[in-house]
Amino acid sequence: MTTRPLRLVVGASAGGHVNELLILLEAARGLWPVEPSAFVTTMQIAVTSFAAGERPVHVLGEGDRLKPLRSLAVLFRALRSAWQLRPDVVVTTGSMPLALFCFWSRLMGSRIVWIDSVAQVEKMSLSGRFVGSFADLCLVQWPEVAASTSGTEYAGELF
Amino acid sequence: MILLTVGSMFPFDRLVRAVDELVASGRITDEIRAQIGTGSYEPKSMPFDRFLDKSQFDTLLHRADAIVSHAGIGSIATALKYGKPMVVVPRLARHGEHVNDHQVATARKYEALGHVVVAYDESQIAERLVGIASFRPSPRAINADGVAQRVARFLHKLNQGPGGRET
Repeated sequence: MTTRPLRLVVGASAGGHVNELLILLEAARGLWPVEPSAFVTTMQIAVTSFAAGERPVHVLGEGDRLKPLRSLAVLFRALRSAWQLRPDVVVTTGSMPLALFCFWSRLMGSRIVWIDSVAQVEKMSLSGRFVGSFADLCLVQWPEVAASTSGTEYAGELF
Repeated sequence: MILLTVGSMFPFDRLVRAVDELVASGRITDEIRAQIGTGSYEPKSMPFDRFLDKSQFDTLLHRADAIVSHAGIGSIATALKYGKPMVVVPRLARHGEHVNDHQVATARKYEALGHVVVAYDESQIAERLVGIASFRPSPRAINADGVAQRVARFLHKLNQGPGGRET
């Protein structure tokens, strides 16, 4: 019996979420036991943000609760990506498309680390509350939000 | 030069139109460069791009004396990183600009911390822009290492967890 390295998949929606993830990955250098083996984002324009090299970058598309049809497409692409990437652990800074990716990955046995955006200054995002119900570690970036949300921790901020 | 940016997620025609009209009427005399995303309103009085890749954006950012933006955290953080003065306009759900009004809370929070100037609606944009280039945003102290270390603790525990992962 041999063990293989953890398959770590990191992900974030294009825009601020990706920036938060990049800052986290920069700070994580030399701290984490493994490098990410794949990246997940929502728009083609964000793909080059990750210095992915040979590692895959999956694009889920954008979806939110105002566009149900697009969200359905994102839901299916998230399933396909989770199936293909088979993460052991997902680390994500949101948002909804990544929450859907976390949902499918969890069903396939992955551990989930959700970091709610620093933009959520008063309460957790809807996606965060959804993923928080099955995440293994749920971090928020304002102490006040952690204090008022059970099951969350404050450990610092990315922005 | 003032850089107007609406981020990549949703259009923000209300902001783009307001700034374009202020340029047209002469109330804004600075050079404006606009990034307007998927908005349906096309500016008539200022040059614009829909999307900018990172290097294009960085070039404009370095040149900019000030930034006008939605109250998106990505834009605010970028401005603070380079110490650029910034006016933010929160997106509002009632105009279909976001799924909810959390940008109002974001704007209020960062305004209270001295990081940004806020125009809560488009009628305040012109007056907030007066003298914005001399606004000195208070620098933001962040602790990304704390977050990375907390996740590291989790990953190490997982990596050494009972059973391990078999190939």
